[in-house]
Amino acid sequence: MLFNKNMSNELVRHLSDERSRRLYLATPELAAPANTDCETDQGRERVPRQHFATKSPRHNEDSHFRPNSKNSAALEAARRVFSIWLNLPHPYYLQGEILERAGITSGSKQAQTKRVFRSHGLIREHRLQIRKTYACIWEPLDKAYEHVGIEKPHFRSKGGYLHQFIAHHVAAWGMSQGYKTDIEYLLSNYKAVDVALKRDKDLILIEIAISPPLEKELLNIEKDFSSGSDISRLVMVTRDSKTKIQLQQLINSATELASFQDKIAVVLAGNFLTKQGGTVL
Amino acid sequence: MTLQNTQNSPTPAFQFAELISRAQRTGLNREGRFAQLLTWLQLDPDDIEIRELVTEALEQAELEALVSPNPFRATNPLSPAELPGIVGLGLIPPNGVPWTIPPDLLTNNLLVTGRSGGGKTNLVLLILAQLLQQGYSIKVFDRKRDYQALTVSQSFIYWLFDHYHTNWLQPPPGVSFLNWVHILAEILSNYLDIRLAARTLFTSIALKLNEESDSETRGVYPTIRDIYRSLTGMRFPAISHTARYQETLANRLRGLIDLSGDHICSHRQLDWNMYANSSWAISLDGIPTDYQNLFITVDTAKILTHRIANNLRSSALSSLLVFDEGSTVFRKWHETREGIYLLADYLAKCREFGIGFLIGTQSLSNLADSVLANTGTKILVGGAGLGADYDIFASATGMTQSQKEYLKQLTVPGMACAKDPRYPFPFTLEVPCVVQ
Repeated sequence: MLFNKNMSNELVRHLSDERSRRLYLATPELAAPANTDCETDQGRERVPRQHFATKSPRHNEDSHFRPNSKNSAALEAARRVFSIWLNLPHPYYLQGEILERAGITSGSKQAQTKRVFRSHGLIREHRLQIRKTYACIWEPLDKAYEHVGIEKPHFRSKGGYLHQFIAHHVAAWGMSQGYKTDIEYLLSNYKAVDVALKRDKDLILIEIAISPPLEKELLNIEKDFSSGSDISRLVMVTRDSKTKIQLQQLINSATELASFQDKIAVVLAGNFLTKQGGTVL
Repeated sequence: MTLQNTQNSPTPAFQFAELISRAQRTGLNREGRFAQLLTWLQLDPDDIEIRELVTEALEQAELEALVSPNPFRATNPLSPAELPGIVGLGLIPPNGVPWTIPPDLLTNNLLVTGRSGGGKTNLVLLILAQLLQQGYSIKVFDRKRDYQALTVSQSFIYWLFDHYHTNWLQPPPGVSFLNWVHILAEILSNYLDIRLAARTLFTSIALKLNEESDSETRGVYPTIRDIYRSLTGMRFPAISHTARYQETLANRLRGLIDLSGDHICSHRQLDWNMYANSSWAISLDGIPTDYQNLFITVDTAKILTHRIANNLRSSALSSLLVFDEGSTVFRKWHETREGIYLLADYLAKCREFGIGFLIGTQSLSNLADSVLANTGTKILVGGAGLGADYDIFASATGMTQSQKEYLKQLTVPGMACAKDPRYPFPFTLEVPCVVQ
C-alpha cells in the first residue's frame, strides 16, 4: 500500500464536495444558488458580501436610504431589518417572524417599517391563507439586496417567490416528520416535481398549484402518475380555500385520473406552516 | 587411572552461571534455540557437542555486540506473541518481528514524535490506513494536507474548510444548550484571550437569545453572529467596565466572524450519527494557527461532551482523534497559566469513553507534560530535532543511558524507538515506507 500525498487540488476539492455532503442532513435552505458567479453544487451556502449594519445612512451616498429629517429613525430601523433578514440562510420567513428577529415588536413601529419598505419599492407582498386568516409574506426585491450589498441568490425551487416560499416550508415540514426531502425532484420520465418526500418505501410528491390556470395541474398529475414511480400520495398545495375547492372539483371530475383519486389530496399551503400538515399525510 | 581430558571435564556450577551471565549480556538467553541448548547442557554437562554449540553461539553474539553495539538487542521482543495485535507499526530487529497493537490500546493514547522529515506522517498514515480497513472511526485535524491521501478509501471523507458549515452554538445531541454554551465560552477564552467577565457576557447573551427564540423546541439555535449583533446593539456607559468587556468581546468575535463566519454560523444541520461514527479529516490549511487550534478544540469538545453527556462509556476504541503538530495545541505554557485547559482535560478523560488521541509532534520540549503522562504508547521516529527531546523521551520511556546515546544515531527516516505499555522495555523498530 502506497499513498500519494501529491493529489491534485481539483480532485481533492471534488472528493471533499461530494463526500462531505454525507455529513449533513438535507435541508431546504441548502438548495444551491444558481448564480453564474457561484458553483451550482447542491448544498453550497451563499456568502453575503458587505454587512451594512455598521454604516450610518447619513454617510452612505449610494444608498436609497437618503437622510430625511422626518423618517430617519424609520429608515435606520428598516436598514437593520434588511441586514438581518437577508443575511439569514434563506429569506422565507413570515412578515411577523422577520420583524421579531429584527427586534421590532411594537405594532406602530412594525407598521412604520412596512410603510418605508413599500414606499421605497423594496418588497412585494403576498398573502397566504393559514387556517381562517391570511398571513403576509414579504418578497425582497432586487433593490433590497442592492441596499444591503448582498448578491441575490437563486434557490433551487423554480417559480415565483411565493412558490419557492411554499416549497421551502413543505420541505422543512417533511424533514421535521422524518422524511428525506428533495426539491425539484426528477421522476424517471424527467418530469420535475416541486417537492418529494421519501421515507422507507413511501414516496409522497407535492405539487404547488398557485398560479392559474388550474387545468394545467391535471396534466401535471397525469404526468406524475405515468412516470412509473411507485407514488404513495400526490399532494396538491394551494394558497387559499377557494383555489383548493376549485382544484378538488376539477380532479374529481377528471376521468383520466379516476384510478388515482384515492392517492390524490389537496391541502392548503398554510397547513405546512402550522402543525396541521400531519393530519393530511 | 582416569584420563582427564579438558574437553571431557564436567561443567562446574559457577561456569554454568558464567555462561548464563554472558548470554544475558548479549540477549542470547531469550532466544529459544539457545535456551534449549543451555537446558540440554545443564542436563548433560559432559556433552561436548552441546558445549561447543553453546560456546560458539556466545562468542558469535559477543563479537556482534563488540562490532555493532546495540543496547536494545538484549531487550527487544523476539516473537510476535509478546506483542499481539492487528495494527502493524513496523518490524523489530534483529529478527524482523512485527510490532502490532490491538486498536483498543489506542484508547490509552499514542504519541508520535520526531524531527521534520523523520517519518511521523508516514507512520501515522500506516496506522490510520489499517484502522480504516478494519472499519474503525478516525477523525483527523490536518494542518498541512498530509492526510488527503487517505481518500483512496471510499469510506474516508476529506473535508476541505470551504465545505465545513456548522453552527458552533448548536449543542451536540444529549447536551443541554446551557452546558454547551459554557463549554464553548471556555474554549473561546482559551484561544481568543477573553477573560472571565467578557466570557460571562458572551454566555448571558447566548442564553437570552436562546430563550427568546425558543431554540430548543424549534431546533434552530442562535449563532455567534447573532450574539455579535446583539452585543453591538447594547449600550453601556462609555467608561464602564462592562463597556470595555463589550469592546473586547466584540473585537474578538468580529475577527472570528470575518475569518469564518459562514462556516461557524451556518444553520446547516450535521447528521450527527455520520459525523460521530464515520471517518473524516478536516483540512485547516490556510487558517491562522490560533484559529486552527480553536477549530480543533471545538470539534473535539463536541465529540467528547456528546459521549460524556450520554454516558457512552467503552473500553473498546470508538473513535481515534488525530492531532497533527500536537505541540501547538497541547502547549506546555497552557498548563502554567490560570484556568483549565480543556483539551488537556479531555486527553485525561477520553479513555473511559472509547476515544483515543493520536498526537504527532516535532518537539517534545514544548509539549505539555500531561500529554507525556497520558499517552500509553510513545514512538520516536527518525530522530529528535532537539537534544533535550532525547532526554524527555528517555525519561518518559525508562531508557538506560546507553540506549539513549544509541538512539541519537537512529536518525534515518523510518528508524524508530517505541515504548509499548504491554512490554517492560523500550525497543527499536523499522517503519515501512507507505508514502510515495
